[in-house]
Amino acid sequence: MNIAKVTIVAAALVLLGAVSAMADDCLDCHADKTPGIVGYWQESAHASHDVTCTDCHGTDVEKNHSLAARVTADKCGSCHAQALSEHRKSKHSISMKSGGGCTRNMPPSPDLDKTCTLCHKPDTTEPVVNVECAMFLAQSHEMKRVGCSSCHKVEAGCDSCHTKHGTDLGHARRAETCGQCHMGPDHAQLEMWRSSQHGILFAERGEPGAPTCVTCHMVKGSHNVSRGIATGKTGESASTERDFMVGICSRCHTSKFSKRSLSDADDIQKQSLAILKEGQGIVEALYKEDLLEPAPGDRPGHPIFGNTFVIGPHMTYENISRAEAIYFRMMMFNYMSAFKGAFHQSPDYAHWFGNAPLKLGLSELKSEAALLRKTERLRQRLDNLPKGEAESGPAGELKEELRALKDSYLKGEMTQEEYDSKKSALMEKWGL
Amino acid sequence: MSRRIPRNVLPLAFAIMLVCLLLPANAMSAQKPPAKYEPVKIASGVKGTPGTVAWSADGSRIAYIARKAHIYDISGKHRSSLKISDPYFLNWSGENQLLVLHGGGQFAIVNTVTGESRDIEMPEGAVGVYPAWDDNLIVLTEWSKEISIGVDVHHGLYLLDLESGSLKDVYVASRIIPRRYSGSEYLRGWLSEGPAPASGEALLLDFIVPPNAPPYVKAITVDPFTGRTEEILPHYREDRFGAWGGWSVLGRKAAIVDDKGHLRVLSLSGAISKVDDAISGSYPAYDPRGDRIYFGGYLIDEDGINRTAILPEEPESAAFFSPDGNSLAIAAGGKLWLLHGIEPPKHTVQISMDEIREKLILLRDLYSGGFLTADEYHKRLYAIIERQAEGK
Repeated sequence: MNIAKVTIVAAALVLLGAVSAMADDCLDCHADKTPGIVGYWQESAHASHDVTCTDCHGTDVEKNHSLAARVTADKCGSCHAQALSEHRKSKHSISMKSGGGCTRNMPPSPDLDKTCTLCHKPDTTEPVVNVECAMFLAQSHEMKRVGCSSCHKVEAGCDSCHTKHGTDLGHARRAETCGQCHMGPDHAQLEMWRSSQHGILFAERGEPGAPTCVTCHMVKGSHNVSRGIATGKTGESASTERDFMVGICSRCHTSKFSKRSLSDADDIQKQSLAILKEGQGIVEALYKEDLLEPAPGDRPGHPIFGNTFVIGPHMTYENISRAEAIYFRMMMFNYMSAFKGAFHQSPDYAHWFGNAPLKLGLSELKSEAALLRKTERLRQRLDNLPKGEAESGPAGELKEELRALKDSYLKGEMTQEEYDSKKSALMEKWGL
Repeated sequence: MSRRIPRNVLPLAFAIMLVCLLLPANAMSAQKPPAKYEPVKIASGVKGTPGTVAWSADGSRIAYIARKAHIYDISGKHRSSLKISDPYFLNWSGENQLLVLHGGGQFAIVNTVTGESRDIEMPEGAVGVYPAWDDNLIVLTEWSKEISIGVDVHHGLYLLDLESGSLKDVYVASRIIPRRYSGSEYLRGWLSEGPAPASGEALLLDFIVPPNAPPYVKAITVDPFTGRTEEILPHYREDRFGAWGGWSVLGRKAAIVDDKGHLRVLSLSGAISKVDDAISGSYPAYDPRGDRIYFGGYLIDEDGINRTAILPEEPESAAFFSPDGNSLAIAAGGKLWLLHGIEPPKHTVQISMDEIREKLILLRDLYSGGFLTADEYHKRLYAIIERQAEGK
């Protein structure tokens, strides 16, 4: 009995020794080759709690050296289970805004419905609109890595905020860390916050005297960054999430002020969306009238849908017509700035980076549409001119009558309804 | 010493004898159509599925595939063979011209008088070639490949310009049939008779198996001239259909078969009607004179009220009406029979296809000249066909 116990303990010690030796093996070389990484790890809570290289990276040296191994959120979650669970419930985990963040790259999650219909329309292999991977798919491999996945890898990894080898929570809590991705023309939350009273107060007083991103979006250190966002794709009902956010605001503001402020932002979002929809309607009409130049059939195919017209979240910003380009800016930059500026208490972003260019975009679209239609009408009049000698026989006679009718319409001598009605009567007269 | 036959065995022995006597007669009737129509066997070893037997436009000859491609001259009662290897589809184009798909997707246009042929390159998976306007042919394609989750099925409609030999894709689409549904019957999609008479539109019966939702049939028509597609059945979940079928006289209805082998009539307005569920079969064909369908060995009125047994023991038989509808070539059990004097259906449709064609040419001319939009073209075309159907 005693011999057996001794044997088990000895075996365990040998095993531990072997694993420890493996970690030492990594350090033997990496202390020289990547001292920054090793130093950063040595300062971390991981090092002081004996979490070594192989605990996270595994023991497959070849896979690690070829960059094929990746420390996913699941690996972190094997110790930080609550953080992972909260992360999985948030938009960070299911944002699916790029191919790099596509769910096919993600491990299964009990919290999310990982069925085919999460990404694909039920009847087809087409992606649903909130899987906005088209822009990603249109990029070079390098741009996918640098410009897309650097942010969207947050869906499957923790290092976007926590760095790869450090455990300094102060780093993860910095607004600049969020601002790696939440900045710029598509959603300038960092700039909005900085230019708001919240950001100015923070510049003066620092934490905890003024709110930063995590104050409102990671309450009590929760990794569910989507709590309190009433218009998001995750979380509870809109009213529950709104009450949650009002509760946060009410720590410093009156509840009435908080509700009105958020309600104003809701209304600004609705108003901005209405402007955007009007713009979308104009572009769709131009497409139906075959007035987009280049036309979808004449340009390099869309990465998902090929040579078809795509508008909305799946549209790309490459090889498109001027009207589509105006709409793209309205959708991706101006609309986002208008309502996110309002939610982040940034008057200038809400108005001058959002509302004003959004309305200017709509004016530009209307003007562009009018110009395109005028040009088209002129082109049709030119096309409608008789070519050479008139055709003889009944077909030629009918064509001449149709030509005269169309020219009269194109000159503006009759309305569309009058033209349609006269054309129909003429066709029927000819038994057609 | 004789052994007595037990009394209770006698009725059994009598029954067996009776069965033995009746069996050959049944077997005969299973292969040979009723004497009423004086059937003539014109070939053996025929495949007999749609696309392998075709009447010439004047009804004087039948082209068929029986290992090789053959032409049977009805008045002279003689046959000639074409030197084309492994044919799998044939169709007439003009008086003395056959369109033949053969081998692994090769295509030949054969002069039936001189025997000369011209080979033209085809897109992948060509299943049918049909004459169109001017110097164009319509090519329908269906091909599939195995992938990890099932079968990736592709359908295409192309226009082949005979003068230049160039191909223009009018419609191409693909769908994935998950592994649990894979079966050849779902891989086909184009109605086997090819483009509709009058309008020239092709009908695609797509079987869609979406993830996490019940499968359904989506039927669309594709116009090779304008390229316009129209959804006939957007989401039909009650049944699924094979693509073997035929067009009604005016091409506004198609006879198709559900997966239980029952005949259905699909109107291009989107309505589906039953005909006679007592009859099962595989290859329906409309009588070119009116609302009657050969199916499962019977001639059945479209309303299901009257039916005439032609070859009831051969539900898998396929019939091919002569252009005037008076004669019928029936492929059954590997044999090809010819029947003359087929009585006209109860409801005949009196039409002038020449008048429709004349107006269709004018409509196409107006559409090409920019005087009509695609929608206007189709609206007017359907109205012309409807007026013909109503005898106006």
